[in-house]
Amino acid sequence: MTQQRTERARRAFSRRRIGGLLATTCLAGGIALAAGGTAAASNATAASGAGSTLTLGLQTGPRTLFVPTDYSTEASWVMVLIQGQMLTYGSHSQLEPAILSSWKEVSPTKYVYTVRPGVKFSDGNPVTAADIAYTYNLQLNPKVGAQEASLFTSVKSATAQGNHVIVTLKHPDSLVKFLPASIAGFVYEKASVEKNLANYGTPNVLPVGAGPYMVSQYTPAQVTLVRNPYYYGAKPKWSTIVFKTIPNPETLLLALRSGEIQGTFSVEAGQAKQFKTFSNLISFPLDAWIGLTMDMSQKPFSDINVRKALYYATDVKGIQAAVGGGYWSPAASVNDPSIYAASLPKSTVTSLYRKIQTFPFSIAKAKAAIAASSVPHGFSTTLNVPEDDPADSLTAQILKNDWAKIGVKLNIRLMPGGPRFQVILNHKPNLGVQIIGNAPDAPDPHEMPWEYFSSQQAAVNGNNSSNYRNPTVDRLLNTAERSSNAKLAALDTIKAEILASQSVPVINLGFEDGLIAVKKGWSFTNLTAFSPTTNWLSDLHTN
Amino acid sequence: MPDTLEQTEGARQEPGALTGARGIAWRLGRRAGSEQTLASYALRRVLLLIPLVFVVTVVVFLLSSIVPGGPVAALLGGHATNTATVNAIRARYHLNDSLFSQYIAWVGQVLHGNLGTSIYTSQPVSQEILNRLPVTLILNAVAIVVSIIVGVSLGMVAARFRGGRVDRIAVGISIVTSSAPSYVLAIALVYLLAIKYPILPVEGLGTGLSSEAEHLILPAIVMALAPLGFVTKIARAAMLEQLSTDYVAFARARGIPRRRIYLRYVLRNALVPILTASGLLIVTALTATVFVEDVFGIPGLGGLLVDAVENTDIPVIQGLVLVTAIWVVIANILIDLLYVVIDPRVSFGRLST
Repeated sequence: MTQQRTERARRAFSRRRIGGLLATTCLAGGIALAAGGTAAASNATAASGAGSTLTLGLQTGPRTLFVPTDYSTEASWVMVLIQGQMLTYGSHSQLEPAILSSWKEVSPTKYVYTVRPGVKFSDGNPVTAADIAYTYNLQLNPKVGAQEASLFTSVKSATAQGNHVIVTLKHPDSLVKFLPASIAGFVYEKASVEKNLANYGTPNVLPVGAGPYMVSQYTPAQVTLVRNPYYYGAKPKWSTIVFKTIPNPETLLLALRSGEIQGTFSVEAGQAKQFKTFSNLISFPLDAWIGLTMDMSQKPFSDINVRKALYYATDVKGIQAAVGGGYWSPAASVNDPSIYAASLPKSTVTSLYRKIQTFPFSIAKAKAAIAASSVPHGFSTTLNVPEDDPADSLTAQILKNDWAKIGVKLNIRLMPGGPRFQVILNHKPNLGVQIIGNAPDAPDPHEMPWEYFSSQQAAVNGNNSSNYRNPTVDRLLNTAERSSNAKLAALDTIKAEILASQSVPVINLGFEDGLIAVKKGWSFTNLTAFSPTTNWLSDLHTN
Repeated sequence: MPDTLEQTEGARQEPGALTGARGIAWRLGRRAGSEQTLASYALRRVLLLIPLVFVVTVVVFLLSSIVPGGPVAALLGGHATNTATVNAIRARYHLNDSLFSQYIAWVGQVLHGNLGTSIYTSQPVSQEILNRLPVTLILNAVAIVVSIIVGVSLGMVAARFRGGRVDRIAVGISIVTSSAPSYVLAIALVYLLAIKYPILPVEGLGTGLSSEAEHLILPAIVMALAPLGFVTKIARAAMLEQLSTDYVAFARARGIPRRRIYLRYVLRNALVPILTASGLLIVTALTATVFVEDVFGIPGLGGLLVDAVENTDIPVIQGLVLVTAIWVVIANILIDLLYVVIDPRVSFGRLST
């Protein structure tokens, strides 16, 4: 620690001295003008890692500080410190009290929550049951256009009664009980949101929350947080936390190396080796499924032999090594087996997962399958690839090479990320093959199979881009969704996964781990797939 | 009384031989008649901006609209949703209207000084642009000024010592800086000056005047390096051309000091093609801004444009196109006007009197 501090001090000194000399040159003269001009745009607090300031880097900064308009993992790392959660997750992803002190499942379609007394927002106003109910209703209101709206599909109403919030469902839904601990469970102050709904969470209207920190400044370059004086929990360790937006991955790496930031949540697998040389790289299970869907409603993917041929022809291990850099684990289905940990013994899950059909890489088998298909001489298809995702681009290149061996010509079409996903949501005219990366919003085993194997999602605005439809699978998933017995629900979900695998609607490429880098000597413990929605600061150890 | 664009040193050069902006200026002058002044010329150019911007924004609007998908998915952050939400979003941003209606609505807003609201960030587009404009503007200005000053100096020295070691070094520098992508130069310089020898910060803008100046040194150097090679090559060629002319030989024969010949006569005449090249620099510097801002984590217009295109944020794209078109046209007008200052033979009507 002393050595590091000394090194930083030396750097700071030399920067001041030589930088000062340079600043007197004609170049700096021009730049000084720039500085004057940019003073308004950059009003963030200095954050060089000194004192009790924690400076972290994000490759993508929050587009807004309002979850309904930015429901993303990277934004969640920031927002959880600002808003505070209704409930939180324990170390085994079990629900634990937070702003809601207790909860009760009165019936499969009715939950009653109790608000912890004495909790206040950062503006000093108390958190009331009306605020909690409003947070639910905010996401139920189509006019808000909340990104997480689909998670609330089964919610009928949320009302405040005294210190309680009553959530009523249209039908039982296994996911809903987890929502208070997910990103969708961040608490909003009714009065402040209602007043500025259109531009809430922008630099013009900073959010008010009940988390350990409050927003001090928000610019496109960084978000600066300071302690919330009204926070109901223990006083947080850092007086200031700065999240810097550093879009370029190389610069992010250099910023950590130089000491300008002390950690980052945005490590790409391809850079893991470089980060390891000068920082502590921590990987943790993100349960993020990476796979390919094939539109079973259209030729040639309507032919199961074509789908099998492509699965056989895909060098999954090669992709995991090349793209995942050792941080992807094998996937048999859309659910990581670990998501069943709370409901089934590991041995049961392992045993059942063996029944899921997979098609290990074999060009010989791929050739045999394509020869038996309706397109024995191969065909041509197009894969839309989000241009801002180098991992997907690399995956596409490997697929192109692999599939060419069985006569399938894969055309790669680079597209902006948003429009690329819109093609999937539109569900027309032919989805062909699509590359997918998705993680569950909560430790609910039913969620991912429902998104990718249910008929309900094989429609406009749905995720099921295979257009896989199977009444038995639908029945199993519906039963699982509505069951109050976690074990039976888990068993039905796995049965649905097994059944779906027989039709080969997807090619499973792997589960991607999350990667965090912090300065040497620092560490993170107990990180889980749902850490971004918990107060992760308590898991950061600075020794 | 001279004509609109005259050559006061006689008709040594045919009007048809005038090229680039000089030629354009001459032709403009001829059409406008002998009464055209500098002010009317500038006004005419500014008025030409209106149809230009109109055409550019129509083209961009149409291009944005044919991108499959549209902005709804970007608004939803890549999450599946329900139809009611999608319909509400489409209604809020008038995405159900015809393209023509959407464009007319946008033009109506612009005429009232409102560039609309960013679909992606929920902020007014004008505010987004104004917040980010200064840093991009100054980075570009510094890059162009530095590259011209250093590039012309290098070109002069190279021409003076043509074929010698100094010339080879100058040409070598110009080749390296003009051929290496800004992205590579930026990463290399960051490693060298912020990591290996940590004298400058890696990224960001910093706070306070001195900190901001310090943070902008590296980006400005990178921005200046790319056009530096181009300017050096142009300057060297222009200087060599001037040095081979009769008036230089005559001046030397008359015993005029070499320094005076170079600075007073040769450099001044050589500046005309350099100025013409500066018009191109404005465009290339804008392109380089996108990469440089990305590498240095600077929240300028480059990053805003990338985000807007990624998310089909049409109001922001349109706003940026508008600003960029105005920027480029005004800069070119200024360059045209600078000809008058540099070359007295180029004039606009009464100005030369």
